[in-house]
Amino acid sequence: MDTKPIPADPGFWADSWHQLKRNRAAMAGLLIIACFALLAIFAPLLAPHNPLEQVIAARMSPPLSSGHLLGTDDLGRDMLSRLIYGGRLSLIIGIISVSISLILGISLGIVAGYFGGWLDKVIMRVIDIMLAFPYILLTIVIVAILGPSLMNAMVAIGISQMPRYARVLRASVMAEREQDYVMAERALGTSNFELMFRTILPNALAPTIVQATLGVGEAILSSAGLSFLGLGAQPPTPEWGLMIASSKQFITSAWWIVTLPGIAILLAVLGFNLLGDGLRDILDPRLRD
Amino acid sequence: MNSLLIAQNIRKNFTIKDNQGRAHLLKAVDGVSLDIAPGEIVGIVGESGCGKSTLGRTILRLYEPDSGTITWKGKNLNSFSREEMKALRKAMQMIFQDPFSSLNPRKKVKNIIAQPLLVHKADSPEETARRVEAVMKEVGLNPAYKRRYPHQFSGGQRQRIGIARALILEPELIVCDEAVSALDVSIQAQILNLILDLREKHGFATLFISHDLAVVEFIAERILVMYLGRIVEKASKTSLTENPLHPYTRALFEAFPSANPSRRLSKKHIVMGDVPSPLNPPSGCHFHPRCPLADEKCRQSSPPLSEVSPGHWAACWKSGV
Amino acid sequence: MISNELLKIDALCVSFNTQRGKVRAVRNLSLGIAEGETLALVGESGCGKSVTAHAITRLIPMPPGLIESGSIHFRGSNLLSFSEKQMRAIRGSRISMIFQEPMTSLNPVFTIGAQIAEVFLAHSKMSKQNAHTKAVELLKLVKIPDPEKRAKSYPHQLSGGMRQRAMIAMALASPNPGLMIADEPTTALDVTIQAQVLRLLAELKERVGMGLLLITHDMGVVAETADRVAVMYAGRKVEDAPVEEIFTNPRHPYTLGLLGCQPSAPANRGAPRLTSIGGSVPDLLTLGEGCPFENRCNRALPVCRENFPSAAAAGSAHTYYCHNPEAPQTEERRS
Repeated sequence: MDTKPIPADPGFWADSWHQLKRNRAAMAGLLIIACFALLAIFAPLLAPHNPLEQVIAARMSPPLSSGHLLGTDDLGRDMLSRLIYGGRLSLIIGIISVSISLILGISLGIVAGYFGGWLDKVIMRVIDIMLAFPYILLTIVIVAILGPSLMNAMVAIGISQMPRYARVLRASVMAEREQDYVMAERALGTSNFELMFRTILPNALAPTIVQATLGVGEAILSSAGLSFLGLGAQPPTPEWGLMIASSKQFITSAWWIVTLPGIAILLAVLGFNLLGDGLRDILDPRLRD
Repeated sequence: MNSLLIAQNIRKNFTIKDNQGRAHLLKAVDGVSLDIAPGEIVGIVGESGCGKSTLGRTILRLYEPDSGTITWKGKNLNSFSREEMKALRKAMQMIFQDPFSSLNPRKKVKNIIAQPLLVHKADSPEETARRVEAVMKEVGLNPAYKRRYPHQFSGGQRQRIGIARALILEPELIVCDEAVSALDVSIQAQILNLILDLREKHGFATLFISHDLAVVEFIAERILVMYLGRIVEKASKTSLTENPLHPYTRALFEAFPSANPSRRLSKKHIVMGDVPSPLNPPSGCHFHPRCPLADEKCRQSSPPLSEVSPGHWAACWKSGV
Repeated sequence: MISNELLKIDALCVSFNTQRGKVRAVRNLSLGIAEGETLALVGESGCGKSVTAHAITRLIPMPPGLIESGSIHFRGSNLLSFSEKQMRAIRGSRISMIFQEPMTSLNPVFTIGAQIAEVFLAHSKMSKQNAHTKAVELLKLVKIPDPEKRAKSYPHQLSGGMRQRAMIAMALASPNPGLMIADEPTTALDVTIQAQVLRLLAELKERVGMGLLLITHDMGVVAETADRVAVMYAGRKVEDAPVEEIFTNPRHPYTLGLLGCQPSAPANRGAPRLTSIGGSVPDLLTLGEGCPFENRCNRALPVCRENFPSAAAAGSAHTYYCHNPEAPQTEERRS
């Protein structure tokens, strides 16, 4: 009997977590995201003021003034509270729009990659056409068709981000499809559906997950852009992009009103990008021992 | 003869596009017939590109043959219903070459081994777990490791996992496609012995495909030699090793390095030339450009596989028929 | 022991630092190759044979690799004391290497002829035209059919066997090939092609008079080409003897086991089962100071776990490292 001792089994996800802990940049990213997530979840408890409450007497107070740690905006609303509530919205936008594009992209990518042939050709040509449009232009066109609202902005971002996920997944599905273990399970009589989603997908998903974490940051940025253009969140909703857009004329007189939401966006996007880069290293089996 | 499986005149072509976009027809399997008796070990030997793996996969119906018939226990597979086809999948299993790529890296060993039972909804969960442990013991794996992932095992142990997966449904035919080629010799010997032990106990028939003449010669009872999609010789092991008829078979035996320093390379007669591309095989007998005996007839027409002596078939104009 | 020594490795230790700890890939290895001799380094995967080859050419990535101690003398000078620049001058001119998969060691965007001519140009002064002519001559020497045409081919246009011949031609293009290291040169090739390439190597070795270090796992290839054999197991050399001696009078139980589990071994002909070695190769991370084969050896003694045996001689050129060796064969066991 083969009695070679085998190291204890940490499991795939436990092992990934172990690797993640050793990757400082990814951990920093995770920490930033965790902070924003906690702030967003407990916003009603943490925000010192109602984000919509206008105190005209205290308008445009600079940071560190009494009662307003980060000052107030042009209508006397507390900046810190607006940033905390705005983060809530921005994170939701990021996650929902990426989820929309993941659902679309994974379905199309796996079908194209697994079946190949004419189906693959049709799907990929459509995706090529979508990629031929500049990303932000495509988003704007879709919002313009659907009408400006926050939900439509998320759908638009989801649709225009979809091609990259479909492409990335298709490539890894095509590589996995040729592996012997797929052939082995097919030889057992496993159905196509099961082969696609139970056998191939878990092995092909890693690059897509990485792409998705990077995508969350980008979705936050795009929604900020859409809000800035008046195509996303509508005033007086606290949303980072909208906060910048509605206060751009104060950049010289009251810098904090514009700058602070900008820094918030920067930090959130940075967090997701750091995590994404770390995940790319960790989930790539060639980079594991 | 009471055959388990008879394949007749199997052809399988692939269309290959070259980098100028022109399509070429690759005749991977070009009119091959074979039969396997219950419990028999049939070896297929040949060099890369001879179509031996394609043949194995076509027999398992992982590829649809372009023409030819496959008969299972006297019944033509073309007339099988869906249910019968599914039942047949249970009866035929495969062991793959690469113990690293043939196991799903994201599945625990117990789930890999249980997969055939799950697909065929054979048993209750308790019964499945019991059978998985039993088959793990049988192939020499410690059942305590059933929750581990494939990458935590060595190459030899992984090949045992592959064997357990093939064995769990008690198949009647196992196709071993280069099943020991990726293993170190000491592990290779263990696995070959294991296959023989299991065959003795369960009585399944085996189609053993390998490029390694010594391995096939050791394990098989009957050997088929393939060259560029065709069978050039088939005979019982003793008949083939003692009296190889086809010049290609002789060349293989000559070229095979034997672990015996008194038969040094310098004394041997080696067949020269490269294996031609299967995309553009030579006319007539495919072996003629490398064959020392070839003449005009060999260049013009392809010799049929004919019975030279009882049970010993060769496809050669010069084999003394 | 050998008068005209080409390469002498003395007490070489190579280790790799991995995430899980230090792997001692080669431990206390001593080897010698005489001028014009073929030494086969045999063992299973992970035994350290390829690491040894890379240590000779100093191609071990450092870190994570580390040549901890020992010396490698090539024609009298210690390669381990050479600067990287000196090593570059040695690689490809005095010591050349050919690998298992020639496709990965040939540059895909240059023609075969250009790559061989490049070697001539790098090591001696001559015109491009002249170098190309000499490249074609070499292709003819390694028996590539239609060498003028093939010199203009790209690597992917050649078959595996032809690519390996082209690699050999490249190795021969150096002005003074003293040692050729062939790392599993025929493992990826079909048997009929393997036989051609092995014969070619043997012929060229005679003609050029170079030493050959043949790294292989295949005892058949060893029997056909080697003059002397060193058997390695888990980083240690366990036996070293002339080829006839290894096959007829193996003293280390691992050598005997390795020979026994070859399906082509005479003892296995017609046997119901192959002779096999139970268990598997130990994890190099957790290996102690004892004999690494101890856990699989049916002749193991308590002392085998404690320390690795020192060299024992069985005849002038035969050494083995075993506390409890197999009995010597008095009569030859040839069949």
